[in-house]
Amino acid sequence: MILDMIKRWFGGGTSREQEKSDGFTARSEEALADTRMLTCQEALEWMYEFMDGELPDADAARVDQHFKMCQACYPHLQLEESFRSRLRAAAGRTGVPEAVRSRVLELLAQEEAGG
Amino acid sequence: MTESGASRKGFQDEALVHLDAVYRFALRLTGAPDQAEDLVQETFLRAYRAWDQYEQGTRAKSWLFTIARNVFLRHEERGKRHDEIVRTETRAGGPGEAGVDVVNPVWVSTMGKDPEGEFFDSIVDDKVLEAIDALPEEYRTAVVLSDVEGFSYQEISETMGVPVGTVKSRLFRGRRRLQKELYDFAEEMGYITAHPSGTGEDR
Repeated sequence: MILDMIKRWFGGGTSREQEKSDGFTARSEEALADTRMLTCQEALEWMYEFMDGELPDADAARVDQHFKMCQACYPHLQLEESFRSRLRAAAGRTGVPEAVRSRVLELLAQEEAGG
Repeated sequence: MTESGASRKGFQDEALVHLDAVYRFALRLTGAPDQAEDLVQETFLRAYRAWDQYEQGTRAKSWLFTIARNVFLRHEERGKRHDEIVRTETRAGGPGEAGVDVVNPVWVSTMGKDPEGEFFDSIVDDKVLEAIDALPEEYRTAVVLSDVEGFSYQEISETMGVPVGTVKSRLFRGRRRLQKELYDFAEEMGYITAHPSGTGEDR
């Protein structure tokens, strides 16, 4: 199975055992504190935090470097970016209709006057 | 109301500027424009009445979203589905947890066809919105706040009243679920070719 194959490429399971808040693995401080190249496993684990701007600059730079250098991982990031920009385009452009805006303003004016 | 003019001005500058965003969020929460309007009205009315309790310096946008969501949830019959999620969430995985794959199954499905996920662009807005709206509220809100509104994990945590770890887990699961839904749709519609047999990940 392809998935198993890929897992083997990425070194199988995680070697990092430091757990966990709410069933979610805490970022491994010592793993990021050193300066060696990240493994594919690590880069993929931190991909969302990287994309979401939640990593400290130095760590983000290392994750960024991995994705720039690693042909195997880069498409993963592209897939996620493509997904996100599609969500933004579909859901992020709607504004409040003018009629609704007017009614909200009216409601607040009434509240101010009478409430 | 004994609000001073200055604080009403504050409400305009800090709260009303988020009317578009609150409406967008209300649309995703309720799934219907008329209900979204009701929710927006109630949110701003409550926010206005509570404006003197609003802590200056905190982010008004998250504050408004918190009110909107709380009002929405109170109006909702919180059914079984919600309880199930909360139960499973205590052992919810994210990347790095044993048994959870860092490799995205959708990416595996696109290998050799469209690994960069360009197929997402072929899906029309209405279908994307429909798929978002079909997510359970816990995932939907997390994904919308992060991916559409650009909230930080901390802001989502405050808005949803859950720890940051739970936010990460909800984002992880919500995104994967949504991607899978959109992938399946793209495949059905022929925007992306179906797997050749024997390479599926789901066996």
